[in-house]
Amino acid sequence: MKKVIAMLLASAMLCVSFVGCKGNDKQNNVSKSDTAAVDVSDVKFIKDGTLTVGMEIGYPPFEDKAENGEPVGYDVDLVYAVADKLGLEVNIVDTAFDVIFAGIGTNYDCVVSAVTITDERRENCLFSDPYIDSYQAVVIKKGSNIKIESLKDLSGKSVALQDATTSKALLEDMIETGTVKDCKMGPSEKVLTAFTALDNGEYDVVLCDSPVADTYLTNYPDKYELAFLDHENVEQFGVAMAKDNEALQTAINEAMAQLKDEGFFEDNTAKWFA
Amino acid sequence: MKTSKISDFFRWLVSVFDVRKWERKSRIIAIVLVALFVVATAFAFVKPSEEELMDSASQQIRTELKKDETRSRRQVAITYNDLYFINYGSFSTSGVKGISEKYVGFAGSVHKADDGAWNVVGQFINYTYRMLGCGQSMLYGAKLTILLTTISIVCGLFIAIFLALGKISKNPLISLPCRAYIFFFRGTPLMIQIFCIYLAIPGIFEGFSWRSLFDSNDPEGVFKGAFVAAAIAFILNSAAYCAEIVRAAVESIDKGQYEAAKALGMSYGQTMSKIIIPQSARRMIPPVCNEFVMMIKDASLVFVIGLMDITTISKTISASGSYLVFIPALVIYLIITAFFTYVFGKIEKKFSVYE
Amino acid sequence: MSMIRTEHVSKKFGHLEVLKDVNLTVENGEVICIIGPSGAGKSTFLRSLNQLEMITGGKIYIEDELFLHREHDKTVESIDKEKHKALMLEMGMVFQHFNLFPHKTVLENLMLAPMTVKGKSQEEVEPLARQLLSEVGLSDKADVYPSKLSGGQKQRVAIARALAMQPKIMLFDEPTSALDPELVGEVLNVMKKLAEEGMTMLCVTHEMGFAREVADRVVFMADGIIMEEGKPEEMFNNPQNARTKQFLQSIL
Repeated sequence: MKKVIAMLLASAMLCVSFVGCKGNDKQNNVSKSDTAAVDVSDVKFIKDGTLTVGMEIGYPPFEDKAENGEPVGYDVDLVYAVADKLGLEVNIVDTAFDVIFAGIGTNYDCVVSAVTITDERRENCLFSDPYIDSYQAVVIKKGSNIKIESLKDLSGKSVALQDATTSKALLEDMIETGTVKDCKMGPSEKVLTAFTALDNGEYDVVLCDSPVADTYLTNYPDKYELAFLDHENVEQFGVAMAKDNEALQTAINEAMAQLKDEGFFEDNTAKWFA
Repeated sequence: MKTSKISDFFRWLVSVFDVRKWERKSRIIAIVLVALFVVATAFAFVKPSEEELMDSASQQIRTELKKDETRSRRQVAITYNDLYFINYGSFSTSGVKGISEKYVGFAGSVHKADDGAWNVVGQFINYTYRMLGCGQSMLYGAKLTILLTTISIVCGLFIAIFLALGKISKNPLISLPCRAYIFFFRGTPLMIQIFCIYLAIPGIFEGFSWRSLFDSNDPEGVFKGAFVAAAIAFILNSAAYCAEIVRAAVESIDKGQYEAAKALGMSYGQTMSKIIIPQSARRMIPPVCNEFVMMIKDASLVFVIGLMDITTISKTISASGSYLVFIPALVIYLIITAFFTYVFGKIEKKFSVYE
Repeated sequence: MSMIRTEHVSKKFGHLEVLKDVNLTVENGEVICIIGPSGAGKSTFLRSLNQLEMITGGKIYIEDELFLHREHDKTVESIDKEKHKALMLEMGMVFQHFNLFPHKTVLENLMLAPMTVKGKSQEEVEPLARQLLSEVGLSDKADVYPSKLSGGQKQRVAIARALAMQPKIMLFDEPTSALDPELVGEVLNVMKKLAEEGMTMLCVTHEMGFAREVADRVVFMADGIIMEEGKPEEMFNNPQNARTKQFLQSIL
């Protein structure tokens, strides 16, 4: 009999502690969404209370790793600022760019990885409002006598660029349409490899996004110089999310609008691009 | 029989550690390794502690750290890497105007490592630490490489035995599928096989994702899912390559062995498991070792599905412009392959006692 | 009761007819030596008895039971699997090239088949195995690997290995042909001892001395058929068949 009573007591205590836990959790949630500037109660996340972000780390200054292995960069700061607005924790998942879009909705909620908004990509995912403008930049080795006045002048040149980027897509398109002729294209997996190949004299020019070019130009002023900035083909980076996740799109847009009003983007640009 | 086999194995295991029976060469290697270990341990005792190392931070960093306590997100990345006999610590803030300070603790004193030789040493420590996957889960760095290749060679070899026997079978219903399997997996690139398994399978089965095999609240779930997909691809691939190794080894066994076994009344299964496979095992070891070493390097292909092995980590680090990373990467690979080559050599010796 | 009886056994490798029409009866306890020129089909005949070669036609009886009946390369009649296996185990075979299992010690070579095929325990098998080893004079080699043995020792182990299955018939396929001359004697002695113990034996051999001394009957084969058979004295001293005469002249 005593045993039965003891067991009843124990199970009752267990129940109480469970209820207690739940209560605590709720309170936590409430307190969190209290501080959140944007309501995300109708958004479904991979992990509750966390914004899980897919990112290919290794594209400075947008994505890089600090020595302790933590992600740093323009996009990382943006992610934390947005998550702060949404009242969420951040979990960044390092993913290869080649398969980054395949994981949206299953492996992570959204992709923030210097993703250019294109019509082609729009068919498979939703994009937030653009958060940075980028142009195609042509970088040459310091002191080389190559003159580039428009992208057409890439004819007959060997061009180093990063694989699976809009720079490559644009150049391929121009080669196909005959705008550019006799152009040797050398795609590499990391943009740094392209710049090193240029420095080593293996290629004539590097074609890349202007923010990336800026970084290399500031960091190595004696190695590279800007040959041409293409203002015609404006590219805009956006946050990509699953096609059916309009609630997240709305929330992120709202958060970014608030950040814009607070001057976050000017600060972040100044922090990362000098 | 069973108990004697186990005790035989233990006797062998003990004999491996019996220095008197070693060859001169292995004895020298062992002495050098032990000596290195003793020296390293001596240095480990006089190495500055983590507190001592991190206390070296300048006033500027200290103010930043102070500010961090009130910020919603920390701005200073604090790194502490401990490599047994030497350690490294750094503070850095990110951005173009970011500041950083680096320290190496070695032999009782803390060295500033912002430039010069200590900077190189510091970077080596940091890179090695990261590529080994220290402070990370099993699915990271060298641990991932070793785990993935070991699993795939063991499982692959097991499947390969059946594939090989199937391929040499006289029954076309058995041999044709085995031939087709081997032809397919040897004739297509491993990278595309990884892609197919990781991307196409969830595409075909609605609602299935590799991640969904694990708890959705597990932040490592993505990597665990990717690891399962990669492991399957590697196992299927290595099974095909090992099948050819097994086949060649089995076919190299003298026909007389089959006849003797048959004359003694042994069935096909008994002949294979007791006579042919044990004898061919020794002949398989050198090519399997070769395959294993190839696979250690091939393991870097998992970068395509977001897993971080030694090569991927070194590439990410080099993206920030530090080519020095490739030196520790090469050394780590060399140590791993040297170790496994040695182990395979030992196994081969064990198998060839009868020759 | 005859141990083995074959009727009209034939064997073709493609178009090559190795055995044409072989009829032979082996009585219980009989020692038969098969002699003949190379290519006569002696080994093929021996090997087809325990189905290392599948005959293309003919009947094989073991202990008066129909073991196998084939015509035109198709099995017409065969006994059930259990019986078949049991009859297979009645025949032990010794090969020209010994075919010992190199990865097993001598003792393990002897014990492997009784343990795996008959499912006996090591305790049951080991005394018999050791006894057989002492009978062939190799007690001290029990834990040695075959690679450390001489040819003659290997063949003695191979005989002991076949005997460990306790067969009623022993088939010897040129057991001394791969041996150095000075090692032939030790193997023949073991075989002689076995014959004296009453084992039914069928030997393909080139050792005419052994055939003359030990065999109850000598069979001369050539061109895939049995040309002549009879008691050793008759065969060696007074052969009837022209081919036999020619063969014996050429080797003696």
